[in-house]
Amino acid sequence: MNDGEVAVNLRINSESRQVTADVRSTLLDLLRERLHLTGTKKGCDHGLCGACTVSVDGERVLSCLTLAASIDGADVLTIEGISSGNDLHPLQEAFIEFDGFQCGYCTPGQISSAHAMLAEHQRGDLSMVTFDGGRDDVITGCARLSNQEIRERMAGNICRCGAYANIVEAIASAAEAVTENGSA
Amino acid sequence: MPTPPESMGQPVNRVEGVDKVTGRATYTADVVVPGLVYAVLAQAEIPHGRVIEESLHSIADSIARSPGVLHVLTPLNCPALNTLPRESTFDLPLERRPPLSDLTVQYVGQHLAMVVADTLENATEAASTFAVDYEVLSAQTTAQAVLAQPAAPDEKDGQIRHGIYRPDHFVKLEEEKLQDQRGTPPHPGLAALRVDAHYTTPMNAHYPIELSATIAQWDGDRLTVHDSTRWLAGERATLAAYLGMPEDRIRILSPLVGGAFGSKSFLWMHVVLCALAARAVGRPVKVVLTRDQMFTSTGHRPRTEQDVSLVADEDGRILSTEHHTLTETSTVAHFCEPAGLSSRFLYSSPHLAVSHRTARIHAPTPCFMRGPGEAPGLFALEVAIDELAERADLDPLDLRIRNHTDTDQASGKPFSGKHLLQCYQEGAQRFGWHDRPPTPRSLQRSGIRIGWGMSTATYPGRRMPAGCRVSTSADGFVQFASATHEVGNGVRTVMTQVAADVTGLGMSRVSFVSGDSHFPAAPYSGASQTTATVGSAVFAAAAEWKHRFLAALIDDRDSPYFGADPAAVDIAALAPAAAGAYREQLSFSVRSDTDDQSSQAFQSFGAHFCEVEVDEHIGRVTVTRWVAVMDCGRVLNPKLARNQVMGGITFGLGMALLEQIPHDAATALPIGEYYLPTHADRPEFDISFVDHADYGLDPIGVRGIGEIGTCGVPAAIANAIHHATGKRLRDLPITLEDLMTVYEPSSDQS
Repeated sequence: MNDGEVAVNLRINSESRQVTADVRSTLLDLLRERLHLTGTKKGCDHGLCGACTVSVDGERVLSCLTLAASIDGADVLTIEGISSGNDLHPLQEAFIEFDGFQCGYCTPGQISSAHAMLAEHQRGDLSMVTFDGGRDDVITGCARLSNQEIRERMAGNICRCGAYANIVEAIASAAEAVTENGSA
Repeated sequence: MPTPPESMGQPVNRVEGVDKVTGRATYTADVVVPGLVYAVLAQAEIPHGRVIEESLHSIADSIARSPGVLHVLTPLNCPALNTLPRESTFDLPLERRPPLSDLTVQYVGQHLAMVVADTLENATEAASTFAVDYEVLSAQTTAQAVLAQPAAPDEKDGQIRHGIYRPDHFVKLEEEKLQDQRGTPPHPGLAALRVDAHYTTPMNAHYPIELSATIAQWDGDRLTVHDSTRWLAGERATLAAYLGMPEDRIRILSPLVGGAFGSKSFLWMHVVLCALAARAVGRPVKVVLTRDQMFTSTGHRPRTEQDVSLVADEDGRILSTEHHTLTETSTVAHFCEPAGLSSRFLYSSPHLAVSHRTARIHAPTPCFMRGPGEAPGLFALEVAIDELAERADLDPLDLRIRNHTDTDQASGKPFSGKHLLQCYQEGAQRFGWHDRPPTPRSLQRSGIRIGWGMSTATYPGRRMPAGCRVSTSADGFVQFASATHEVGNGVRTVMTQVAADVTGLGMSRVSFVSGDSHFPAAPYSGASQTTATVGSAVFAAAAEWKHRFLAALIDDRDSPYFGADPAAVDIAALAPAAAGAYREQLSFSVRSDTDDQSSQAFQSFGAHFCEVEVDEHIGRVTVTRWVAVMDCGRVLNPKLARNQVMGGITFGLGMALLEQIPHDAATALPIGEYYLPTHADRPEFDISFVDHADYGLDPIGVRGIGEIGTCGVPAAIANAIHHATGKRLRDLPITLEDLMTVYEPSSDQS
């Protein structure tokens, strides 16, 4: 190992990987330039646009602001790992059916973000919009994921093509499918 | 097997949808090339001056010794590039001055060096140390500053120019006159009503989420460039001109493009520098611009100042329209934001005066951005119309209907199909416009002010020549190829639909590919012309394919249709491999030229209606509801068309309320961030199409939908805010500060 490099053990999409990373390398650049997992996109490289969203240990993070060396031992889920084999995840199916994209560049981030967001909602995380609802919602974590809730919780993922309404419809539809079939 | 259902007109899902939701979709920066090294750009930090040569020598030497650095390209060692031919730079925004060709600085963000290293991290760190000394010269960074002083003489044989000029027409479109007049000023006795107002729009950024990326690779004297471009043919020609090499030795690949909106069209300087760097290091080189560099090095919408004067008789009939625009370009390229073009024909107006002046300032080169001209121009015109309606004491929709015309007054020709009155009527009904109280500040909901506004939308219908190659495989599948670009416009899907229906094969047995300069040429993906342009080529290719296939079947003694009537052949019922037997005859290229367009004017129209909520205590405006009815010819795919228009409206919403490239006036350096609409900012949409096919422009009846969604949107929002608050806001973007200031009725009559 050279100066300025560090060994990092990661589980990426359920596969163990030991990689030598430049200490300056972000998780995003490691995924894209070293591991050629190019589904995760670079849109701003400073945490504004959400295109690089992946999950680290189940929580959505901006991979452009995450140093690879800082997550040694972590479990990383990228867009490539969201479907199982050729079977698309309900979110992916719904994005196609509701036309939740145009150019498609922000889409891996939108889907990764939505995937983790549905888990956040299921465990009862609140959003700012939850406080517009009733007392029960605040206490129990709002059982129903309304479109307003989705919009608030997805506001960190920019779609310059402006497919927002379709993305929300897709997520709402997938949320129902996921709830009906148990957890994602 | 029955004949496959017509796919045109159906809400077909995107053909590249699975790739886009699984991360398999490939954009330029995703292309894996063995042996790749990385380039990072270093840029000027002053608007005007000269780099001190010694300081550049010294820093270039120091960077060259940094870990992993392979090459440092600067004006001191950059190979001489040819200057571009005049037809590229005279009326298109390609820079006259080749990059790294001298030590002067003409704008903040001008490239000064390209650093190539073995890893992205090494290149980034080395480039971050770039700093030079400058001889600082006084800069003119606004049109007003240029107006205030006499113009300096040209420099470098006209590569650098100064002062103000009045372009005759927009890009290469001679009929789109930027200086236009008709009629005589109205008789003062008739001129009962008038509006004279000044409107401004800021610098806007396209902000595609995909950063511009280039990978350049040499194989001997052949160059392959992967680039996020939406103009393969233009980029190849421009690279060939710069490098002094034949076009056939250059191949440009543009896999999928992650949004463009007007950027990614012209050969921006990083592309040719990447090619030079790859030649210098003898390895493929990748450069991905940073988000900050996207603001300075891939174009932007320039600022405008617009003076609009409308004169009407006492019934609100417009007698005179004047629209005078002052805008800006760089000192090294031509571009004029054509804000006044729509004012020439949108409403009946016997007298007209339209002018444009462009000031060359020390700022990056601007270019087209979604709705060039229409987006800022309709903001001014459509707010002025709202102001005139207020003066006339008429509903703004009634005033527009009174001034409707079915003739293009700019050319004197009839429109090929104008159904604007239907758009108004359906839109008003869907929105509930007729319940709108005329007086501002009369609608409220729990202390929040409500306003309703509207505007007219318009954008030209355009078509250019294009080619298409058809390849039939042994198993009978048919691929259609054209050097167009999938920028999110859905071209691959819609072209597959056209090919499927015209051949009669159905969507599962045809495909459409784009993004390779080796395919038959197509124009840039812009001006909302792709479906009309490439669609005409695919239509011609598919019709020719069917004609040849039927002829082959009927001539073939072994065919069940030998000697049959062509009408009796059911292509879809044949085995997929049937066409494969004739694959040589069924693999060919066509070129589709534009038909005679001289007798009609092709123009799309639409109507926007919106509702805003304004919380005056905190200065917050929320656009809650949007009804748009569009007249864009035939709609080939309502799912994709609705998405495009919705995106266009969201783009216009950003322009109205959020977007501006903020600069520090003293240093001309960009400061702060660029705000964009998010999930939380968009309204509930009701988008529909009147769907009248227009076969005058092309054989598939379309006029294009890429831009019209944006056009008129900022005015509809500004008019709704006026209705909510009584404030007439004429400068974009409309911000919190504008809405928090106390309402004063008198200020409205300014």
